[in-house]
Amino acid sequence: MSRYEPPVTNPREPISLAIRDVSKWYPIRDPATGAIGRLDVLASITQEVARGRFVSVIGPSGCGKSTLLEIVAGLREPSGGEITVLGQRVTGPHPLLAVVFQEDSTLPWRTVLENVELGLEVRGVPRPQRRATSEQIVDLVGLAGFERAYPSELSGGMRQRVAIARALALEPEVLLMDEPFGALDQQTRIYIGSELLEIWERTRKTVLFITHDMGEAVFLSDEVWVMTHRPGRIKAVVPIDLPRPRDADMLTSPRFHELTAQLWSELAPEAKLALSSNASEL
Amino acid sequence: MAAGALSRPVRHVEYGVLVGMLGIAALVLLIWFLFSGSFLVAAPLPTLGLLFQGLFTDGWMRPHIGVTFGAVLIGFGLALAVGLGAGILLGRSPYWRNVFEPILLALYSIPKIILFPVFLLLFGTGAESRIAMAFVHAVFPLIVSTMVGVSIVSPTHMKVARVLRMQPWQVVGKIYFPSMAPTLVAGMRMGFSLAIVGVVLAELFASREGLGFLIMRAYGQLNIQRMFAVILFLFLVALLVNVSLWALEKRLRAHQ
Amino acid sequence: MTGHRLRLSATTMRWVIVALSILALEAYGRSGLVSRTTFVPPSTMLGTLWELARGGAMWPHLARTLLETIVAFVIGCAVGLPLGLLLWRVPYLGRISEPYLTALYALPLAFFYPLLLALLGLGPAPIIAIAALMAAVPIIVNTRIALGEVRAIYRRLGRSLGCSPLQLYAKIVLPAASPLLFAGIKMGFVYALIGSVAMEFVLADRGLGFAVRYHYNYFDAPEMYAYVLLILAIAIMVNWGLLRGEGAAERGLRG
Repeated sequence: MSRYEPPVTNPREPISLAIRDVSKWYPIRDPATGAIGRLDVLASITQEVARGRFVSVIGPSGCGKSTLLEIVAGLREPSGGEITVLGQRVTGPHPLLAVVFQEDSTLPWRTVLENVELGLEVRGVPRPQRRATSEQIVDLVGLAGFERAYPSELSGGMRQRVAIARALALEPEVLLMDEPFGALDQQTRIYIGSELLEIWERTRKTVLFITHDMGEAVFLSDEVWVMTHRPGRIKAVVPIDLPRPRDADMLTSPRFHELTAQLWSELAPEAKLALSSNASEL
Repeated sequence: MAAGALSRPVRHVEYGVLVGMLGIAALVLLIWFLFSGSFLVAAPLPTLGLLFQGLFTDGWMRPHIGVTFGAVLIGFGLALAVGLGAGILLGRSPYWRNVFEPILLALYSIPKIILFPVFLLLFGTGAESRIAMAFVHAVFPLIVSTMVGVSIVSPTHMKVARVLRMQPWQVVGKIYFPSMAPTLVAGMRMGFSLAIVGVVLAELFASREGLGFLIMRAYGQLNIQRMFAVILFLFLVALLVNVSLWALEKRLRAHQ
Repeated sequence: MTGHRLRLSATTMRWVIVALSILALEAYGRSGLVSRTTFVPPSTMLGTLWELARGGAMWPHLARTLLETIVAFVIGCAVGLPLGLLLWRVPYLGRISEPYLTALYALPLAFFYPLLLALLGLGPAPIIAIAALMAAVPIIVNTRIALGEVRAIYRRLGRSLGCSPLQLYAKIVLPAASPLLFAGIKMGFVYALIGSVAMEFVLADRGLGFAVRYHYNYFDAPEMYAYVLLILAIAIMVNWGLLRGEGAAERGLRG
């Protein structure tokens, strides 16, 4: 790991997702002088993700990591730069991209199966076909037997699995996940994290995963991007060389702790900055 | 524990509760029975007989039911169209919602019966005035409930709609409508019941036909039994409409 | 931020809309499109109302309506609050009465008016009876819901602090329930007013509802519209006052 490394890519795989010179700022009015200034949220970010890689983005709270994900997802426009997926420019929600949100995004009036089918339904896939696909995916995410249950009957972790299944059913090129386990307790996170890895081993989707949890980032990823405090930029790219397939036992291995420590050494000064700046905003 | 009893979705009514509900109905009947016999309160059984006769064998009530409920249905239908349109437009924008909400609540709370003479002057004594009564009674609960329903659609669900690239009609059909259905059904229940009250009150006042006219005529002729039969019919219809829409609302809310 | 559109504040826009509506009615009334026996412009309504007030004809009607509304409201509270409390304390009773209360909300209670008229005679009593019943229903329903929505943690807190049952209600349950409780009381007042005016309109010897009907029967369009305007003004003012009260109740909870 170095101060700044050029994007890590695997020459045998095509570039799945490219972020080129993306920045984001908002106009703000200075309450004292009334002058219009700008609040820089993201400063020129350039990164590439090769197909099939699992990349996590970690950073202190308020660093703009969720903004970055929403820009990649086409939900927000960047102030500058561009996003491409398989060479196609992203100008809005794109069919090659699927998103899993942090908040519970299941529709409470639909059963598990109906929730998973939603994206296919919108695409106009005929009913028997989308049923079959969804049943397969529900099985893949370990919800077999719950097809007819409603979200209100499921735990928070199970609802997030429904959201993951809904995203996978669309067969996206890139799966974007915005702190999907942020609302869950730590034990559930570890458990559902290893399940996510199992699913990922079988589908080998390209994943961009936003998190603030260092252990989660190391455990899941092929590489971790560390973001600075506002304005957010990628400060370091930490390759994770833990062997795959991984399971929860790895959380006690010395290499896991080394990598976590390495992440923390990058993250600690940023977290401190974020803390003092958040305190001054209060 | 009591806090949970209200918010928890009731999927099926338990046996004990059902018995209790029927018990209340029996209690009301018993009270009616005890108070009947005086010249003011008709006895339950003959009233039921007269109602049966009015509806089926003789049918003296039937044309008036058509008159009253024709006006209710037309007025309610117009109010539903206007209420959905205006409610969706206002509910989508916090600004316009803010502008109109106090106006709508104020209009909701006026005693709308006093508009009836105005309608009589403007539209004449025909069905139009009664349809207008049904409309003004039903439209405010419908606008307000649509507006509230639209404004409580979850922002996360709207994000889901965007990333799944839904067409506008798909957003309405798959996100808006299911989200607001329980609230809207509650508004429809209020609106429909108030439309009945509005039309019958209007018929008490100036009409040669309709159930309200029957009540007033029976009262004038001191035919208490007939008056009770008509009121009983109106109560049963209102009860049926209310309880079935209420049950529908509960079912829709069960998974929210 | 990008599109700097000039926007009036919501309150200003609301007044603009109300003013434009009144102006439109004024223009319609003066345009000659409608005869003076059918519709009179708002300025005429206001002028006639002033004369009715100065000549004294208005006061007995106003006094009667206010009397009926206030008495009905007080009775509605006296009946509704304890009943709502009971239905909350005994969940079984609450459950079995729920469909009936839901229906009563919108049931044409008014149709019992002729019966009560025969029972209690022409005067304020039968009107107060109906209006009180109409006011009690939303108060019962909302009291039960308001108490039910009080978070269990508050009651556990109260008990852990050693509150007596009375203190638990006075210091914890009632303040926590007050916004919804007040919403029910507000609806109760509105229903008391609607009930009183509606019954006066159907059959009475005095009251604002009666006055509207009386002047309609005698083809006095200006007087009729003057009373319609007065009733609208009362309803809107009551609504406005109660809205402010509601805001105060919510602020009181926070502060």
